Amino acid sequence: MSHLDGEWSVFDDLPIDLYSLIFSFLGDVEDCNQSDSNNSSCARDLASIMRVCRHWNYVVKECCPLLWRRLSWRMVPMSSDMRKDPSTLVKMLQLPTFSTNVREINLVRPGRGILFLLLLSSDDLTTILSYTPNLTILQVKITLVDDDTLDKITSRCPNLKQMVLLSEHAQFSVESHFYYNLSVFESHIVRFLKKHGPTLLDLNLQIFLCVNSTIFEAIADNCPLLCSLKVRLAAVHDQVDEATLAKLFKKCPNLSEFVVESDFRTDFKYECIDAMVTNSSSLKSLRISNLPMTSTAFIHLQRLSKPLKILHFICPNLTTSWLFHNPLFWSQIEDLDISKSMVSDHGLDIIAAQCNSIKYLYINQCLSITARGLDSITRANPQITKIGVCQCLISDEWLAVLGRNCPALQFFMTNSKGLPVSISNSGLLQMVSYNPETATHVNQIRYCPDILRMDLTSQTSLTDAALQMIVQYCPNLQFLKLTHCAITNLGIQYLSEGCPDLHVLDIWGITDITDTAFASISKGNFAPNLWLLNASGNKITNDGVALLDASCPALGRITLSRNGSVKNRVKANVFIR
Amino acid sequence: MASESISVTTSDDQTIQLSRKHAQMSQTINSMLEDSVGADQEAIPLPNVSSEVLKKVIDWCTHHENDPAPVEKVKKLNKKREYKAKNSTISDEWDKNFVNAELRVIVDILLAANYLDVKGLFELMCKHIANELKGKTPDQIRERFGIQDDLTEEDKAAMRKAWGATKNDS
Repeated sequence: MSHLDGEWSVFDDLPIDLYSLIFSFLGDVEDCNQSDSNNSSCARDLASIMRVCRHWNYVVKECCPLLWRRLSWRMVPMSSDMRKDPSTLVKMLQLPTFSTNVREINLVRPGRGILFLLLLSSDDLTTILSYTPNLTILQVKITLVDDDTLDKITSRCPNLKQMVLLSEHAQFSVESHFYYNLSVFESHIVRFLKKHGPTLLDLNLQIFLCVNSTIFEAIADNCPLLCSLKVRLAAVHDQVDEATLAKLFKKCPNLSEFVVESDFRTDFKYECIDAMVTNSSSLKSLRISNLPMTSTAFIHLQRLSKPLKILHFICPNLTTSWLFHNPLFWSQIEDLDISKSMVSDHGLDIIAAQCNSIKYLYINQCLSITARGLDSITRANPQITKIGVCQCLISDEWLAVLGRNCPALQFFMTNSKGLPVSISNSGLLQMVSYNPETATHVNQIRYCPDILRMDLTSQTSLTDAALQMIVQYCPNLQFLKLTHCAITNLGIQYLSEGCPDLHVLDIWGITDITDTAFASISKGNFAPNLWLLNASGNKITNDGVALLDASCPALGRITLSRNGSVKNRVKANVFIR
Repeated sequence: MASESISVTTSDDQTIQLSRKHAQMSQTINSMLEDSVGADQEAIPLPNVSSEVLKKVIDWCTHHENDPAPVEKVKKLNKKREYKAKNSTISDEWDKNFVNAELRVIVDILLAANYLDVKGLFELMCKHIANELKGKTPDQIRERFGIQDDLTEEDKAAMRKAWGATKNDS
């Protein structure tokens, strides 16, 4: 190995895994982007290291894929500079070592309910892509991709395996201007599939792209390796028929995930399920939402010869009588969503009798379910970690059931918007503090350490005492929504004295909250970690916002609409961060 | 309660006494101690660490003995904001002085900290080496770390071809 002036280099003893650990301290990408002089220094350092000697070159190239991935992944979505100015991004990509290693570009950052879109033109996009020949995953704003651009993308990035096209309004609005020029998109997608289909593993045409038979045909004809397909159907144009679906599942034998979303106007016939069931060979995950279905179709689905792992069946006409006894179908389901259905307690009994592996359970908006049904299903599935009971007729009894049956609960969502409210502080206490195994344990604080996420929207009987309990029993809480709860500044003070990991807090529409609450937040345990705060409709003034600004370095988003006393300029300052 | 000091034998056959508190800052020694609870306290053999290096490690442990122990919770946070946690700034003045040593010593301490599993010390050494690498050209790195350039002209040409010409190419 390396040898200089007859003396062995001190680095010769170093195992390869230690190299990658050292190199991982090289660059804080965020830092690099913040000052212009320092721009892209991390990638530059790595480039230098690769040119030191053969061994180092090998180490960086072969043993630090994560490092490159971290760089390439992080740099695009995280930096606010780049969102404002594409030239920064281009400058960075001109670093050859860096750009040839970029595998994934995400020019949109969806997540936590927000989409950040990079302000780019189609030309900028093609410039960027000309530097990244090895790109495999691309996420962009859909308006950037016209026919010309698509051609350029496909010719410049021959390894592209996944392309996600997102609409700006995807998360917020149901209307979309893409309905109007569906035919244009059809031709886009078909051309894209012809060129890239053979290597495509994952196709997401979900958000506001309305998929019709033509596109399904193109997928079936061109994508033999496809594993995951997410689509959105629309009724406006022609229907998807069973022959097309049969062809799809026959021609894509690896298809293991199939997600269909619709807007209620589509007609998804019994024959379509039939075609799917008989022709699929590796389907593991099926998510169907908002498709009007018939009982025959669903019963047929339950005859699937291969068991599913994930079943989301969001269908308003699903009733208990559709549930069929077939343990082969139900036994392996880990993720079950039957929201918006008319399934009753007896329906949950039927599921509980054949299914013991559920980890995630969503029964949002199921108004026929009572605490007895919940008891039945949770008793059969004590390993449940996530539960969604939004807009159900929940009561304290439900919480007692969860406390008794779900020791592993992590995510608890119960948004009761628009319903008569019926859970109280004592109910919550029963949920968070009941645990048969540790009931006699002296250290009560450890009772419910697993709960990470709670959505208690519109539980208007919850008061400050509830927050005191949460702080005491759920020390690891990360996400808390308290919209419209009956809490005051005192409650926020309790909260700020505990829960050091809290990073999302929603106190929307709590009119009793004033600057005092913000003062406690800014002094509180979780101030350094707070990432998102929704404080709309509170009595917050400029002073409160300034306090937060000074003490919450990680705060990326704060919402302050309907706060009359916060001046626009202050709002703007906080937003710009 | 077991005795307050622990004996270890280093690679150069010296037996060194260190306090239980310091010994337990090393996960490796700590687990050895836990394994041998109740057994006769013999000197723990550390065949990969020399006495000179071990003394340095003990120095560091003495200075940092009252630091809060790294908890699981912190780990979780780091995962979320890893890009922040990987900052290589050394903030402690004592630490800055401590790393001001010959490269040979630094690498030995790094290896010892890795073997003994003293997390804070290990990170400190990584940070220090990373800082030494930062902002240097390949030539400067080779000079600083005493590494010979064994890349052939073909290798370099191939890199140039793949990357295009760069300004600071050596």
